[in-house]
Amino acid sequence: MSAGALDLAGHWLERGRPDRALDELSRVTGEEAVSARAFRIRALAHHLADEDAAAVDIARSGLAAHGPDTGLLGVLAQALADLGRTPEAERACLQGLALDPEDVWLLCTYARMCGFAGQHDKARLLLERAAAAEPGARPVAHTRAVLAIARGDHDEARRIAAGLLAADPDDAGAHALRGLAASHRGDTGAAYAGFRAAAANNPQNRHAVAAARELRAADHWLLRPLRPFRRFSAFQIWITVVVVHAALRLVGLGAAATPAALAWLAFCAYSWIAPPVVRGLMKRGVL
Amino acid sequence: MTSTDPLLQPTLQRQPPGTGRPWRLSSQGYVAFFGGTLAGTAVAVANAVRLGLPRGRVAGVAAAGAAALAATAALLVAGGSRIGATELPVLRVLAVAAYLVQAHLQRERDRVFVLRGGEHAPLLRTGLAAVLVLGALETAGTAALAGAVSGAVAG
Repeated sequence: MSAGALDLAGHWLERGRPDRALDELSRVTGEEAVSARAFRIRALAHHLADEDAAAVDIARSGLAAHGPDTGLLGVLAQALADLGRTPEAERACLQGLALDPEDVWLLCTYARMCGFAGQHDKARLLLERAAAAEPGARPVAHTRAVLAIARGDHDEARRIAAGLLAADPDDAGAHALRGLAASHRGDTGAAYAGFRAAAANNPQNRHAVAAARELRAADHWLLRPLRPFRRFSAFQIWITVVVVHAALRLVGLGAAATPAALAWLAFCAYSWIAPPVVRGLMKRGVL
Repeated sequence: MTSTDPLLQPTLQRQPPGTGRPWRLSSQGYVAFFGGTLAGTAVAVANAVRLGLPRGRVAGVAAAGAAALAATAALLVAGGSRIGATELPVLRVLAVAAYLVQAHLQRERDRVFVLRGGEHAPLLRTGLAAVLVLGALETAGTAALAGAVSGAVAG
């Protein structure tokens, strides 16, 4: 009975539903409830539910009870990394990789940490090792896309996410990655589609839900004037503003430069005030 | 538990931790444009620390601001401390140029913050305070400096 509940909890985790996994885990009793596998699933469920402090505690309790375990060390490393405790996270990763240098999940976790710290060459080598250990592994492709976004290579990220979605249209992570890559390029429509799909596949992922809600609001006509903020980079927008401002003054239209600057200020104020108002009204169903 | 594998040697043990939720990089542009170099740089340096940027990068953010401030002062000294129709747009260009360099230095770490599921803090209140207080301070300070220099030259 309890082994069945544990299997079911594992299944919900694979479907990206940590809430259901934790429900199932609460039904597990006896020795099974304190097994290494139960600790792994419980810690991972808390990590996926964004409760990283709890995930760290559970993973450490599991390690204390059962000794070194690559699965528990992997969750511990990810939870610590998300809490910003990078040095501790690296130690957990390396401890796990000392047990199994070919563990794909640990190699991907460590590659992500190195890439996030700007160590792109090391990240690439770690991913190559993971790919060699398990050719065609999806976590490797996911991590490649994440690292491409971190480097600012959004076209590469979009290409990888498209490949993942072609193989599995229900891949919530790939939908979110497609959304993230598109939002960095200012493509609101594609970004919304990506996050909406990710949120639909996993309503527990509050980041995907919030991003989908935000992007749905961004598509509303009241916020259309703000499209340039998403489409163009800060660099392009500010260069344009400054050039227009300087040009007006330098050609002797100083009288027009002040109203133009004030109009820009009003537009900026609109860009700060309007989005939360539109989001709030949409939430209440008024818009 | 140590490994001899060169790829599995620790390289992240000296990563400075972030100190808080950073502000959006795009929001910092407003502070630079409306408040000037000093206000923009103060916000950018505080944000670089919040993001947990390495010390060298934080120094780079500060140096970009310092260079723009030096150019601002030089411009006012040359113009005889009066901020006229010609100087004002150039001061804005300098502040925004410094901002663009500062934003570039912070961009990658900011993307990583978003990738980790972080949510930016609102800059409205701090930004407004920086524009009003530091903007006025910069205007008064650089004008006083330019006045002192031109006074010394005349004397």
